[in-house]
Amino acid sequence: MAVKIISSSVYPAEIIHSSIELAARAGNKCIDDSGVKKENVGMLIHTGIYRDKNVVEPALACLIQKNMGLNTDPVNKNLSNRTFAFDLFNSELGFLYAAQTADGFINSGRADYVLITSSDVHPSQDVVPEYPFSHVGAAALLAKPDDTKTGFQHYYFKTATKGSPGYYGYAAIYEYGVEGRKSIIVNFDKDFENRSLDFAISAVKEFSEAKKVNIADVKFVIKSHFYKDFGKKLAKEIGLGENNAIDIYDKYGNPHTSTLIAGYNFLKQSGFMLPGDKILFVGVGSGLMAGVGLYVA
Amino acid sequence: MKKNRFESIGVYTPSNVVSTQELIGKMKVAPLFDLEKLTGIKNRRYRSKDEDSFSIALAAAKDCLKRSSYKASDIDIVIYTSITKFINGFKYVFEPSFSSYLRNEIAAVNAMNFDIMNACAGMLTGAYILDSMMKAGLVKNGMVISGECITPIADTAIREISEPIDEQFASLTVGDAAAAFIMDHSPDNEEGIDFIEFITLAEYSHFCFGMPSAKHEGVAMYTKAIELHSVGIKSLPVLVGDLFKKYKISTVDFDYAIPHQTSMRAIQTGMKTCSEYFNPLPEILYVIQDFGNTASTSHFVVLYKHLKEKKLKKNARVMLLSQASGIVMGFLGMTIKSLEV
Repeated sequence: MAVKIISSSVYPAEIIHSSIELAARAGNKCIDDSGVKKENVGMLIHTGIYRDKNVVEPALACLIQKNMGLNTDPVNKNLSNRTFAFDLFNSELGFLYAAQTADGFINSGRADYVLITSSDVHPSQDVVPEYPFSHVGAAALLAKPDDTKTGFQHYYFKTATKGSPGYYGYAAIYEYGVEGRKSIIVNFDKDFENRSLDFAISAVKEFSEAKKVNIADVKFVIKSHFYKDFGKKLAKEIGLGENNAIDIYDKYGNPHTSTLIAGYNFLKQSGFMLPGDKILFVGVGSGLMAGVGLYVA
Repeated sequence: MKKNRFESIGVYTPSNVVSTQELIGKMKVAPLFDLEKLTGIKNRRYRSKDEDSFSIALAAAKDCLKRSSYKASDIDIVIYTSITKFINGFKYVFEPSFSSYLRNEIAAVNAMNFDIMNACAGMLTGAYILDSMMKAGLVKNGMVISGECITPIADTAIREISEPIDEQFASLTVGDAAAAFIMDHSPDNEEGIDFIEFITLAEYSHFCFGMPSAKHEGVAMYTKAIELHSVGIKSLPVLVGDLFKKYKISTVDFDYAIPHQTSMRAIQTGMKTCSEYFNPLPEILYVIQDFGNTASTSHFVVLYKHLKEKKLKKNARVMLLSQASGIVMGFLGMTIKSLEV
């Protein structure tokens, strides 16, 4: 069983700095580009973390669904056209967990099309220099592939059992006074760059062994990039050439939870991705955590 | 496809009991209505100063593991599902995921982990995800955990309500609680989950918001209670009718119904709107009198307490009905055989 990305889109912030708007615009473009009828999208999983006004209820996915006009009122319209929405969090590997979750829903017959969205903005919805992530929205539409040898074939996830998580993102709500809707702290350890790279490398090696995947067969690596040269170093350490790593750092900076979709979208638009190509998704994040997914185009 | 079941459940409720009268007594402006009479809530539990979402979630997870046939190292996936994610007092943690802390603390060393959020439908959304992943063969079992340290919204409501009608009144109904369950494959394909259905009526997603207060430090919940109730009342019979048709079920297929524990009167009104389908009504199970609305954990607190007091008949058939901000409406039908507390 597998799931395939049938469409993807990226929506970087220009004037709008709303996590809801960015994800919704990316989501609608993604569906429009796919040719799939909007009403057939049965599930929406939002993987963004940092959000407008630090809203934690309802799920941001519900507000994005409304903004998109995606089957918002089936009871009063058509009960056959329905969508279920929720948020899923796990740093930059959230997309891989969401893809696996979509795999579960699609291959258990509970959804035909699952839309995964992402977006992170500073809760003030303003550009704040201390906030480390770019304001970007992204979306990917997943479905069952015609050929089960294509799409996501294997997933592997690793969580560190000890040590610092590498970085924290939190709202110290009782220290902010009346500014709780506008404040967030993201603090990185000094050694996060090296530790996260080592952790990603070990996850890829364990993945290769556990799933019997020859990394030399991989054509492209789509990965997190908390800093500029992360991808080149990762590709080199796992035995691939620097050019195998898809680098969107110069284009987007670090769009955090949108990184993996944005990398895929960039590769797709480049025209270099051919049917049958093996693509390795590698996400890392706070925990430390790493996720690896093998995708066949 | 093979059925899955709740193999074990665990619950933790703080020992500190706070009555509705006590809460009302702290308010500057008393509500125009009798909150206790309207909701049926006499008491709820409040966290102690040393407790937060993490500590109570951990207690529930340990309670669940204690009566499970699985060791923590047997668990394939840990999904954390609460609205509140307070750790070290009132630090609301977005990253790392709570599930990574809990996975490590209970030593589920072979488990994948992620967090989800879906307001008060969190734990049942976790059940839906896990059931689907197991049906698709991605995992063999899993654990869903939630620790709701939700009473800070009641504290804010007490401090901020200054008019007899206010969007924060619903915040006075909540109570703190944590719950956890382990799901595995049904041993006989009779015991376990018969169906799960979820839908999001996103048109009404703006009827309830949880976020930091703009008036004081702290978190608040703003609910358009009448509008929310109205959509629920209108939608419930339509969705129940659709569910009964799809799964070819009727009221005789259920011994008990466990609705989300919002208010006794709202629940009764809601169930009566479905009288065309639930006729006669299955026995409705509550713990709202003693625990209030414990957010995403509410169905499992009800189930736990009734199992513990041996109040469920043998081979009980139970429907869990979820209604949450979003607006999320969900239904889970199951047969209970070996699940015990």
